[in-house]
Amino acid sequence: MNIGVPQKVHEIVPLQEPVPRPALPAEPSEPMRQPVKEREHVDR
Amino acid sequence: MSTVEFGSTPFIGWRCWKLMLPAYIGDANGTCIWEPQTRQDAYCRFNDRAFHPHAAPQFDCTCGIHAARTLDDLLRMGYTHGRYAVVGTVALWGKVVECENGFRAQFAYPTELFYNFKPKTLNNQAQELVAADLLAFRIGMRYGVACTVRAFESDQMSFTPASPALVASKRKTRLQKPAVAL
Repeated sequence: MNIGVPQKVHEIVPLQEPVPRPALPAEPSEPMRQPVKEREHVDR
Repeated sequence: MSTVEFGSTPFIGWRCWKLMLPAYIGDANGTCIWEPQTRQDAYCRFNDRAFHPHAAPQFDCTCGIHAARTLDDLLRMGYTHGRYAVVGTVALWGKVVECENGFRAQFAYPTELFYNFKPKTLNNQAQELVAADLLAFRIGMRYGVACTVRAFESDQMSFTPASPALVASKRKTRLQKPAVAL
């Protein structure tokens, strides 16, 4: 890219870098409930 | 070497990118992908040859992330609509060398992108436009910036929004072209 003759040097320090933050991972939904194992019936 | 001016507002320049499938943007040469949501860092390719190694951009070198000052400048340099799929603005910060028609920067990240829509077929232009719209949406989501579909006019220095009405009118004018008598 021919942008011509250099003229001036700048040092730009933005307060916040203009890069979008990565999207946060979606909040986990309610934990899947494990199916309750049927207890084996034990005769005592 | 001129004096250094300090500031906190990034410069905004114009660039063009190649479309790297599925939905990435790449350097104009197609040599590297711009990572989504990561700043692009400049380096000097002459460093590879151990030739006056220096940090990019240096005032008296050509290194740095290049961007034109305006869209007109970009088009005037020959980066016309037909050659690149994505055109847009880019934020430039860190060390920035301001040149006659643009900038060379240390860090960059796109701020707004335009996907250049060029229908390939005559019959399925509406479907192509929908596909282009979807692709632009995916690019925008990936990079976290606005990305819209635009249509460049081949002999104009500006661009206009691509709409189904525009596509239909183009199609109509094409169909109305008189046949050349042999």
